[in-house]
Formats: sequence, structure tokens, C-alpha cells
Amino acid sequence: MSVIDDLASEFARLPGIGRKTAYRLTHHLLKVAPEEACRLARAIDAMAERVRRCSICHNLSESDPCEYCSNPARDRTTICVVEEASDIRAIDSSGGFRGLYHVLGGCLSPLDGIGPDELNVESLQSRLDENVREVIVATNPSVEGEATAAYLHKILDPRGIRVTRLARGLPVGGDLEYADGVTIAQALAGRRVI
Amino acid sequence: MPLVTTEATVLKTYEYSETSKILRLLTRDLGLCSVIAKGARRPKSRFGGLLEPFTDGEATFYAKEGRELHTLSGFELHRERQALGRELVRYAGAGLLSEIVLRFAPAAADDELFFQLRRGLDHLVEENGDLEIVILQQAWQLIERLGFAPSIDRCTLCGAGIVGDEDCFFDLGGGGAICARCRTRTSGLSLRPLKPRARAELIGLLSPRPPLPAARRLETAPAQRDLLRDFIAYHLADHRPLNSFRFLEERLR
Ligand SMILES: [Zn+2]
Ligand SMILES: [Zn+2]
Repeated sequence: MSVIDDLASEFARLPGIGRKTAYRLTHHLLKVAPEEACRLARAIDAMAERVRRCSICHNLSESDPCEYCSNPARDRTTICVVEEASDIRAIDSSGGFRGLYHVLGGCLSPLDGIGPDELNVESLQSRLDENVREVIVATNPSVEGEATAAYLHKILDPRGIRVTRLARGLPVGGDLEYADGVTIAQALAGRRVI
Repeated sequence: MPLVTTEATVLKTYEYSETSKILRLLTRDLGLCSVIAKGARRPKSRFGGLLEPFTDGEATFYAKEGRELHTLSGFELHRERQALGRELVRYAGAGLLSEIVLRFAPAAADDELFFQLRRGLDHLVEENGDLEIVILQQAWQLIERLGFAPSIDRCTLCGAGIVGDEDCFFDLGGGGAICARCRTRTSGLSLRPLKPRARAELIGLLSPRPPLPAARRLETAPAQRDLLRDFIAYHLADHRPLNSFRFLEERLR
């Protein structure tokens, strides 16, 4: 296999990239200045070399503990549980949360053979010292995410920890008229006094 | 490229690319199908939050000849079963029913199988009694519908009827009961004792009428669990237990 095929087949292994796109990317890199291609290679190399899982929250970070776990300004009474490390960026950039995070590494899925043992549940439990008062479950609004939240509630509630779930409802900017039945039903169930 | 509109139940979803989802559906008209729902993961997708496991609706897609993956163009919600996610045993049971269908249903219309699955999922949502009875019952009934029902009234070797209090054996390989007399003639490793009580409860799980009342618990629950798990593994799944079965067993422990 040529080095061109080699690179293209590496690209093709990335999510959402088919063979055609893989060759398009490869040929793009052949057209640009060699320094530019090398910069991409170095960035990938550095990332693979330096990014690790935080030993406390399983976030992906260059430092261990990660920038959230080691930041004394973060609120240590609340832990927000997410499915993947990539969810942290979305929640944190909203500016609405200043506590700590915990990455589960997925959610419960019977068909995929993913039970609590396959997720970072034990390490979550071991983090629950006397400081932690609330766990916010921010798993996806899917059946799997819901089941994972139900499981966490079941094991954390007896420990006297407040377990909350992100509200589900109408998307901001969405039009009620076009919302689907499931979303409207959940928005109704999650209504609050104004 | 004909446009198909058919009733469908979503069995499983997979994330695909940044914005799309692949759905495995049991459809009324085409049996098991895979469709891609482009853009379904965008918050403002026209599919909204509908494309979730255990949801019933009317799916419209372009069925391409010779293609495995069709492109979903619409999904009209008939019934969602998000409530299954709120309790783990129900969720595990729904996963088991879905996995049985996913692994063994044909890619062809089968009305009875289609409605059997829907009834099973509805039972799981609504049942207030013993969930384990409902799960085992619904799983066996899907297996019967798929044509793998074990023979339990008669010895699979000599054909003699087995009476109520008779000790007998269950032969996983042969797919049914074996009387004590025939026991000596077989040397299969897949043989296990089937006590009269366990056999009676198995009959109750297998035949829909009269079903075992879910108001009480199975006396032989562990034996029934083992039997169903091993039967599926032996007959349907290349000797490997289904993923969702392990998940279910852990929840019931
Ligand atoms: Zn951390
Ligand atoms: Zn016999």
C-alpha cells in the first residue's frame, strides 16, 4: 500500500468519513505546503502523547487532576455527571455551572452489554465525601440516558445525596407548533411555577 | 426507488456522523429494516425526539433495491415508551425483547411477530405485578412466534405424554422435554433436570392462555431464567448468551 493509500485509510477510520472524503482530505494535504501537513501531524502527535484521563473525574486533559478537579474556585458541593468528556465543554461554556464533573464513559445499554460495571460508577461513588450535596445527572435525553439517571438515583439516593436531572423541554428558539409530542409531554411534566 | 410507508417499532438506534442516526426497525410490511435518519441528532431536527428505542410510529422511507440501509424521510409518532427508561428491570426486559427480534426476526413481513413485540413492550410499560414473569413470558412468546418453541408436553424422543408430577429432563439440543425412560438412551451434554414444578411454570410461560398471573412470583424463577438464557444461546445465538440477558440477570439479582 502506498503512503497515500495509507493516510486515506487512516482518515476513513474516523467517524463520518467515507472513502471518497478520505481521499479528498489526503489530496488536500498533498496540495498544501508541507509545513501545514506537518503541523497537523504534530498536533495529532502531541494530543496522543499528552492528553490523558483525569484520575478523579475521567475527563480528558493534559494534567492529572484535570483543570476542573484542580481548580480551587470550583464549587465542590455539586458534581455534574455526563456521558462523555466532550459533554463537559458544552455544559461549561454555557456558564450556568461552576461545580465539578464526572464522566461516566457512556450509558447503560442492555443490547451493547453495558452495565454499571462498564461505566465509571464506582469511582463516582468513591468521590462522594461529606462535601458533596448534589449530583446533577446530565446524561442525554434518550431512553438510555433516562435509564442511567434512574440507576444513579437508585444508588445515590440512599446515601442522602440530592440527585437531580437536567430538565427536558422545548428547544430555545423552537416553535411550539412544530414540536413533537414527546418533547411537549416532557416540557409539561417538567413545568415550574413562575 | 419506491417510497414505503409502514408501521414500525424502533428497536435500536446508533449515532452516525455528527448529526445522523441509524435506526433498526421492526416494520409491519418489510420485517426487520435499517434506516438512516439524516440530521436526527440536531436539536431542531424535523424528527424531533421521536427516534428513540421502543417507539411506535409510521415510518416513510425510500426502499432501495438491493440496499441494506434505507433513507428515512418521515416518522409519525404513534406511541412512545420513554417510561421504560425510568425503571431498570423494565428497561432490561424491553432490551431483551428487542434483542431477540433484532437477532432472529426475518427481513419479511410477519404480522403476528410485529404485534407480539408491541404487546410485549406495552405489558412491560403497564405491568404492576411481577415483572420477571412478564419478561420471561413475552420472551418465550416471541421465540414461539419465531418458530423455535420447545416441546414440553411430550417427550421429544419417544413422543410419550409427560404427566404433571413426573420428573423429566430438558434437552437444550433437542429443544424440549425428555422423559425419564429415554434419559438413559441419550448422552447429550445439553441435558438438565426439569422438576415438575419448573415444568408446570414453564408451560404457563409458554402458552398465552391462561397466562401465569403476574400478581404472584415464580417459584422456580432462577431455573426459568437459566433455561431461557441457555435455550436462546443454544438455539439462536451461536451458544453465546444475549447481551441484554446478562444485563437483565444482574438487575434481578
Ligand atoms: Zn478531573
Ligand atoms: Zn421418552
